[in-house]
Amino acid sequence: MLWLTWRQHRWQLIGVAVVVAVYCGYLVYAGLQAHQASQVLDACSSGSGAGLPSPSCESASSTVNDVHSSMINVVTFGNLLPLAVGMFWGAPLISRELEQGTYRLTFTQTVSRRRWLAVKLGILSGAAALLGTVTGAVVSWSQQGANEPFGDDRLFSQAGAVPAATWVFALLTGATLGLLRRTTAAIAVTLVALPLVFAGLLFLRPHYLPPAERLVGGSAMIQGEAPSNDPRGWLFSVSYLDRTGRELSPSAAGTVCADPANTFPSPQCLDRTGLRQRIVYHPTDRYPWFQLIEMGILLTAAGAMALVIRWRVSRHLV
Amino acid sequence: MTPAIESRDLGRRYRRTWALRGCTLALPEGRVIALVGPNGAGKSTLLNLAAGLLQPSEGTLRIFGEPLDDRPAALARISYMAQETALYPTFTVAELLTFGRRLNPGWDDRWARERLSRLRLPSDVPAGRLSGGQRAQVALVLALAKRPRLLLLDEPLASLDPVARHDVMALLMESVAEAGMTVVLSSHIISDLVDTCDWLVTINQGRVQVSGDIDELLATHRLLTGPREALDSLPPRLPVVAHTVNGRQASVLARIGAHRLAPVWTVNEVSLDELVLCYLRQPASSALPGPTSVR
Repeated sequence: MLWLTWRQHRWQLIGVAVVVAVYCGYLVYAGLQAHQASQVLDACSSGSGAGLPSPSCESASSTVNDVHSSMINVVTFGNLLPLAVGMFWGAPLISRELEQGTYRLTFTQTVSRRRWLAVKLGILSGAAALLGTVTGAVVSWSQQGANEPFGDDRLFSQAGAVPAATWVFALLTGATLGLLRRTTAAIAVTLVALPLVFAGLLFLRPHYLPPAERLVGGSAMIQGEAPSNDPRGWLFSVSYLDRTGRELSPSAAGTVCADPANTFPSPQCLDRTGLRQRIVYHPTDRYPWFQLIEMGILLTAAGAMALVIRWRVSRHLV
Repeated sequence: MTPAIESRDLGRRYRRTWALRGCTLALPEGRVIALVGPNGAGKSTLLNLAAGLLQPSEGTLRIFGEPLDDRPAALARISYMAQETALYPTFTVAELLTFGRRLNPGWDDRWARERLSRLRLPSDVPAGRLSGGQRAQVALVLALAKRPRLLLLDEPLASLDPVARHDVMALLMESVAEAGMTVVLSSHIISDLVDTCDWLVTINQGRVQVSGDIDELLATHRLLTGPREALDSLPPRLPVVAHTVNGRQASVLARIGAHRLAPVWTVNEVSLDELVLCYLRQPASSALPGPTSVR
């Protein structure tokens, strides 16, 4: 069975592994470049490199920015990598056997259908989890100091251990759609279904846990327009409460402050007017929990699909 | 002796239409069994059910006395070769042998290699580039090297030219003689089966008509010719399979048994071709479960 799995899926396995290698290779190369440039920048800012001419500091700074922005663009496209697993490993797994009629050859050998399925799904899931783990590790490493995955839609599903679960999920989605019997149809539907599921996860993700709320004064407030991720965590909304407890939007609060220099309230304004800033957010220490929840959702769905496939293959395939 | 295949009220439905229904059969072990019927009669369905590739919609099926299931011990007893000889088109002949060896504990690798080299089949050519006859031979070697007790062949000769047909049949008969397995062979071409099979099953419109030893069937069936008026004088319980009236002449195929006939009838022996044809033209006639009387 090991031999058969390798013989039937070798080119798809090699193809996806090559794409992953190129992807990770680029991220390692770009990550090292950014790392070198930021060491130069550190030297510039710490003053130990006072003798360095400022043009080299400027070029290092622009290198860091350029590399970071092109890396995040590539990482955004990296979200499509699991599609390859679903389309080329998962979708043909059963549909091609049905389409070519070769299930009649395979299912009349001395190997039970359950074992056939267990070995195939086992090996391919293992390979998907392995490649997912590699990309997760490389993406996490390359984004250090550049972007925080928590609260970043482009990065969250690609960093850490989450991709391993995403890739296994993609494999099983493809394999389940392979029950459609036509390989091209299964591939096409996988190509449409997986992005829809991933988009659905984007909408679901903020609600994995109820957000935390904090009321702060001027000293601890977030100034200016709130970024979506911040050292405190994943920010959803920033608003203001006046002394009576009435909630004001940042611009309404800005009007209360009537500060000609700032559209948004400043710490001085909060101290002066007694406004308090209300921050709704997921604290940074929740990041591992969010990863676990997302992996749990994906792996539970993958397991359920595996059971459906097992049921169909063992009794009701044709 | 336990039958090789035993079914009771076996039926399989595809959505609303029954491909096979009410199939009650007991096929003896050690025979070469011809499964004959027109296209779409249910032959493939019966073979697929026996191979475990289909699940019955109703009824029961036992292979060597045991129900069919998805256990290696049950799978090891049966080999199946499909209509379009479904081989992985990108696998070379050598890889197909590796496939057989890796997936079957009882695989006879020496026999398979020896057989393929005697058939002069190139081992490094993908199955998709072999001729139809070569593919059928490879598929048959795969099915036989598994060393099954029961070999199910679904129209193995359908797409072959006469030479390839002869070669495949020769390979089959030689191996059957060596191994003494039970073979069920389906075809809609009766001449393929005349010399090779010793048991006949005809299946028509999803129902089994005849199941019996070919010599016995030929010995009990007779073709009667006589004047048209004499039809009324036939013994009332004579099992008539078919009768045709041509002008003043009537001809009747009947299982004659111990019945005595009026001397106006000329009694002739019947050939297997005629016998099968008569049954297939009369879907309502059957020699199963017992003799049925017409009129």
